[in-house]
Amino acid sequence: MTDIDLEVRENEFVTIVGRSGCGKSTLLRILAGLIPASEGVVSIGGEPVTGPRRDVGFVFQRPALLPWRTVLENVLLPVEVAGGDMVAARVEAQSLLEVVGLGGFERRSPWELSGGMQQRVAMCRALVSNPSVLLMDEPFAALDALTREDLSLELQRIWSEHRKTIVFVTHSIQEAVVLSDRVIVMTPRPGRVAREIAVDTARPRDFSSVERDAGVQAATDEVRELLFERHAGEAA
Amino acid sequence: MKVLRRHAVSWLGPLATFVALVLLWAAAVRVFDWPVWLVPSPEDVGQALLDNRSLLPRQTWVTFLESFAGFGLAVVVGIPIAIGIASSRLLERTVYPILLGLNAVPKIAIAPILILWMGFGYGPKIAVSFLLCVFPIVISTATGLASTPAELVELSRSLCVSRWEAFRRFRFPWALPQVFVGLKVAISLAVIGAVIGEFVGASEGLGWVIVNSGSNVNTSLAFGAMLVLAVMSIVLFYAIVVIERLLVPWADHLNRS
Repeated sequence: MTDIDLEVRENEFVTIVGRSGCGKSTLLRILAGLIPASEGVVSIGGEPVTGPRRDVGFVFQRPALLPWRTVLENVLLPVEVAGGDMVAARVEAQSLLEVVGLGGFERRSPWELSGGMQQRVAMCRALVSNPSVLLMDEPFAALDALTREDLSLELQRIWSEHRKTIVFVTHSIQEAVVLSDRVIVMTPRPGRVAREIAVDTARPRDFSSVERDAGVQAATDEVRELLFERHAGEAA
Repeated sequence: MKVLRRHAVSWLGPLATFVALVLLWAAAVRVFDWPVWLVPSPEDVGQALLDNRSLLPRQTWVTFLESFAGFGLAVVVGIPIAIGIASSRLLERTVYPILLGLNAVPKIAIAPILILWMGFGYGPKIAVSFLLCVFPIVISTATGLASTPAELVELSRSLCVSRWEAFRRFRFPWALPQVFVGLKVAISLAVIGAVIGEFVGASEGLGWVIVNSGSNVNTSLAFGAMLVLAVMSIVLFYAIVVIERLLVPWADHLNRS
């Protein structure tokens, strides 16, 4: 990766989209402090990131739930390891689970849940300690198309209710455009930012706005063009 | 009801096979007219067990204690070794080859030397039992500890937990199903180890009963003792299975999640 200069405002929803191998997941891990940057600086709220931090939530491509814990215990995990207030966390976890439609599933085990439900639990887990920043690495990539749309819209609702700064990595153009304030298009070898595209359309949006809404449509076309043109040029 | 029926089927199958084999055995003894010192019939074996009902429980208890002690020692020693191997490259490179070498030595060959060193008491039996079952425990535990999925490792890192916490909360529980694979192999080997120890030099235990009745041409009793050994081995195995079900009820569901 080279020459990445990215600023994410508070409460902004930014999506990084690009082909496999463009370094979008690596960039996200550098932001999370999971991988050290070989060069350059990352800072959150003016503070340089030197390692993983507790005010950053991370949602992975796979749910990564602990099979020996119940749904509720999985959601509470971050608070538990941080030694936080478990009573308050319980209330918070409960309400998060309600929001994603998993009220009543608290005592179930992860394996009793479908892939989409498991990923919802993972989202609740990332949100339970009320992080200021939420980093999401292709969180819906392993799900079927319908579940994907459901979860995207739930995420949009959570974001507008809880107001978080979200950096979201995906290779789905639609997902990127529907969800974000700004789409960062990355291209590979070397991984760099090709363009930043602002999506100004009012929320809430849904996937039908890709066809109906002029703003969303224009952004979709622009992202698509960037991703495919470059690839075509490479092949020639 | 359905569950009950499934359980009944899962028990009935093996039981029916066992009964059929015993009947076949009884028939074969009659048809070929084998003498009792060569191949005793099931009734002979039953009679021998009955005649020795005051002797056998005590001998079974001895062999059980030796096996259990050897197995317990292997768990207490083997799991920490595995943890060491899994958490340090240096230990893996130094301890692992030694273990492999130790495991390559035939335990039957070591048994007489152990008796020379430790005398005719429980010591050498427990030692052989330990030597036989420590290896599978180490291997399976180390494998389990090395199999933590990448996303769990990243999760533990993103939660800022210490190395110890990551081990306690993620790696070790994740390894448990694998640990139990090793324990199930080890428990049967533990019994075999104790019997090997008794073969080489003992004055009690089921292994001793077998050697003794062999030299007295009491083949029926030798068969009987073997039967008791087999039953003990099976019971111990299922005891481990029960503990596994209680401790890691989620293991069966891993493939689906």
